[in-house]
Amino acid sequence: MRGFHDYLVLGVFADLGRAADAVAALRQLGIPEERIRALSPFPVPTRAYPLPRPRDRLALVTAVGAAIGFLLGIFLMVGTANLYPLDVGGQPLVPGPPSIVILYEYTLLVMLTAVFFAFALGIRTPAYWGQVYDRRLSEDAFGVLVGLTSRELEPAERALRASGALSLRRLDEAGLRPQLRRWLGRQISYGLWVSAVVGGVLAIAILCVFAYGGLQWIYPDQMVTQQSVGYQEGPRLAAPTAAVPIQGPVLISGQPATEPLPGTAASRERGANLFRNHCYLCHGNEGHGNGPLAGYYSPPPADLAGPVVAGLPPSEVFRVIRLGRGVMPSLAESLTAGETWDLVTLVKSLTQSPARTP
Amino acid sequence: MADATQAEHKWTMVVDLDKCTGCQACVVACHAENNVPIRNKSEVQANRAQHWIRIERYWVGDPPARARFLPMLCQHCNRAPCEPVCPVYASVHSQREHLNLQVYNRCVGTRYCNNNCPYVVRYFNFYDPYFPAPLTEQLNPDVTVRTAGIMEKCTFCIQRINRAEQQARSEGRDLGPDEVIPACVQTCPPSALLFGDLWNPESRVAKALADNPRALRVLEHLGTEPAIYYLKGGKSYVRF
Amino acid sequence: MSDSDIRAPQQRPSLGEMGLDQQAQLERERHLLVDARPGRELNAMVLEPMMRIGRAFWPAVGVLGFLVLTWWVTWGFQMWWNVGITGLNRVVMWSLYIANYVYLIGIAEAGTFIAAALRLLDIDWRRPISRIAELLTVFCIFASALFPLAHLGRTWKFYWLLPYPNERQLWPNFHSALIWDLTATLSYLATSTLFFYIDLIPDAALARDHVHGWRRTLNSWLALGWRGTERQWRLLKVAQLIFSIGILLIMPSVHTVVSYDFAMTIQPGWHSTVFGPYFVAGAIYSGVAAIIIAAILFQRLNHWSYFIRDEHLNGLGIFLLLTSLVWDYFFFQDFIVPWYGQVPTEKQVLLTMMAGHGQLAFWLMITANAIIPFFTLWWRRVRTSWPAMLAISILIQLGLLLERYIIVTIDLGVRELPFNWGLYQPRAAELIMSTGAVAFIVLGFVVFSKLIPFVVLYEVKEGQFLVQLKRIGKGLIRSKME
Repeated sequence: MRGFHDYLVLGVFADLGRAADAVAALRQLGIPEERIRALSPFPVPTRAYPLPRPRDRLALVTAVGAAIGFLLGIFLMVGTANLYPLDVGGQPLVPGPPSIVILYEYTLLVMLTAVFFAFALGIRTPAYWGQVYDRRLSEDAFGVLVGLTSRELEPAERALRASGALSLRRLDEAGLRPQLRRWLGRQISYGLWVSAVVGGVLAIAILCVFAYGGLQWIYPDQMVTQQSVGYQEGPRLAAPTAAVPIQGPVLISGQPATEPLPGTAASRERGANLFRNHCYLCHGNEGHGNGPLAGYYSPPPADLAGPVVAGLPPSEVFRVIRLGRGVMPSLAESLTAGETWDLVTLVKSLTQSPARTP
Repeated sequence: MADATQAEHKWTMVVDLDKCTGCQACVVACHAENNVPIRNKSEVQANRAQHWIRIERYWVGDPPARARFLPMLCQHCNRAPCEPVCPVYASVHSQREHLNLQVYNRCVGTRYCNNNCPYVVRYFNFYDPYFPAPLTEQLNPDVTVRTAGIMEKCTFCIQRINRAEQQARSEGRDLGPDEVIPACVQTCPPSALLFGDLWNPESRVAKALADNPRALRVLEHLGTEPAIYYLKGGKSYVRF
Repeated sequence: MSDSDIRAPQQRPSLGEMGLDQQAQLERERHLLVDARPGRELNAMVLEPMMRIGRAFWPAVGVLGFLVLTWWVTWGFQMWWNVGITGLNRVVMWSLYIANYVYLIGIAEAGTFIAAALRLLDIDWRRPISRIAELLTVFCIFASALFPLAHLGRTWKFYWLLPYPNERQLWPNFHSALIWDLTATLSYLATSTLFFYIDLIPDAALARDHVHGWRRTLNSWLALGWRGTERQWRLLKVAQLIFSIGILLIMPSVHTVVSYDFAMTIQPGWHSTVFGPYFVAGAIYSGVAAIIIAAILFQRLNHWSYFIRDEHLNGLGIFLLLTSLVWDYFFFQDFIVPWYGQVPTEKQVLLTMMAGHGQLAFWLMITANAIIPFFTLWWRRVRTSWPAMLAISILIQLGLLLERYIIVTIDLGVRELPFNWGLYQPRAAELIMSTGAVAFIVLGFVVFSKLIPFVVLYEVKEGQFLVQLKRIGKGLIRSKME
């Protein structure tokens, strides 16, 4: 209790009447009411004791808590919607009736939580040390607890006994240690509840620091390490044999053909014939890209004996002939796959011995 | 417009119920394009078949004499009831493309969206997907493969829409009237499905719907404003 | 007195004809608040069952603990293999998990009502059962809140539903009824736990003073050093008043918001404006029945016929009858409107419920919720007979669980278009989780009954202090000081 005192004295009484008499007697001795407490095992009407009605600030806390909850609800409904606007079902960005639900709930939640904290602080708990107490006070006895200076001690104890105290218990509060203990107990009581609130606010603040870029937590992300594969890009498996009927080997850009190139002399012979019919007009006799029609094309037809074509794998040459490239048309309608391979044999032989004429 | 990826389009689909034969080619195409998993027999028997577009069959007559086919897919409603109910904003509306978007990596699997969808066109991955080899070769790299616990539905092949828009932007032109073709539209043999931008008068859908007395929308009285128009079949009507 | 016992009730002398002593004795037998005993005796009656571990305790804990373990293990399985192990399908995507959620949080509502509303209304028969009611609330909300988590497809991402600042700058969608649900449920959990704790402090102090061993340590921590000064009592009363009002404002809003999960959709059968009050009525109804079960069990097992008497059972019984009538009223509203309107989809919902695959559940529900209570609870003899009340209350629990099941599962099986009409069959996973949750609540009660005093002694003592027998002419009546 507040107010300077050296001793805490507890008187235990058998019924309410005697306890009230004791309080009256103490008041008559001139002991101020903030040093007198009346204890009971159940709540009694406050006017039973000649003590003023204790004031509490719970009404104020209720109002403040409700206001904070309401503002929190406003932030969540209006603030978050505007921080990241998203269109859902054509509803307005801040919907009316749903806002009422959220505002209602948050107002009540914060209000009641605040009331709890105010209550716990108000009853000066937790207060585990430095108490004068008697077990009978939770059975059916009534108590009067009074803080006394050394001058008041004798008359007060006499008054208590005269009112019919069953027993008296005294705690010596004079001296540094008890006073320190009392002070510490009060600090712990406040500290517990205040740190709970501060802890909550701090947690939100830390989250905000991370959320808005103050600090960054780099967590492992598979998007950086995982392979990105486009259409028909490697690494890929070939289709199982006979899964899909195809003519010739599988065409995969950048990967070798699955069938070996039939590079026989007969093939080259056939290829030379085909070259005269299909390729000579643009690519020229020896494939240097100087045929009769070469001048009409931009870019000009490729030099088949040159280093670029020499560097292409046979499957790539096959693709170019089948699918065309740039202004060169596709020859797939005119040639079978076998004939195309013969041409590939020929083209490859052009690079190997450029002096050979077809 | 210089930047085709910023243009606003009203993507609309037209389903001609007179032409639909119920062949389900669109179903297969959608599976192929969108990596939709194939659920096994016991799952299908437990009413968990997963097809983003499905052909609903209704019998006509008593005793049933004829079947009526209704291709049903996400209607991309303008007032989609599935959107306001998702607690984590996984189902939102695109105001530029007027599509209903499903954000796979945000979905926590409350399944509230399907409860509110009157067409019941949303699907939940009850299990992880399983693609038996060599179907793994055929997965579309443009589309996420969804794991268990995630809702999914038809997206109007938004990957194709994006690709067409990006192509147009890189070529510095606007999107053509019928340039975007979803997989189901591409595959439909009798061309019962049409897709395009309703606000572009050159598109096939705009022409098909102009003053068409056959046009209707499913469950229109609920006020969902779907983006798919069905053309009533000939003499017989689809009753809803 | 012995002669009058043998005579039939209507032939017994009325109270006015008896002598003052006889009247006083009768009043003391009937009413707890007149039957004052010394505080030591009351304390012993409450603390002795708390200290004593009987023969049935460990087997009960074993069985219940095993059921709770199966619940957790099944949940673990479901997180690994995902929701496919349940009976859900493309059409019915919400089922037993949500039904359990609604059911359990409904039971919680009445606990609050008994503790808070009856305090504000100054109804005295709530005094001994207040703690049981509040504890039921806390455990039920806790167990029920786990069900929406269990039903998520990706449970480990549940925290995305909470509003916290994050690097993706994303916030939850406050348009969604599920977020309102989450807010309301968590608010209710927090505030009812605080309410329970506030009420507990003086009794924990009592236990701290009169028990020994580890329970003494536990209760002295819980009591926070409470001494019982007039300032502390006054603050307690004011805090209880504010909490009672506040939690009475929260309570109907919680179940109304839970009903919004259904009413906000456009699903036929769910899209009903009466769902708000209908669900609240059903909640209080099932909760009162649950409190009756708990009160009867504790009265019999702990030999508390001193604390829980006929008057309390009678009061609870009248309350049960009242809530049963209110439930009948709202159920009738929800029934007659679609029946009369004959809108095809809603009519199909009713048909499925009454004559289709939902009929067993539907008619069981009607019998248990409407018929049996109506034809039994009007009579005082039934209301004060504990076997009858126990049976009726258990039936009501079953009936209300079926009601939730029907609303969630059967209604959802009838969608707008006939292609999307589907059945639902619960599988082992859902059944194990349902029983596990109920076992959790019972286990909580069994364990906590050995930790804290289960009767709100300070309220009983206060009541006995305030209520006295007053002589009016030749008679004695109970008179309460205001």
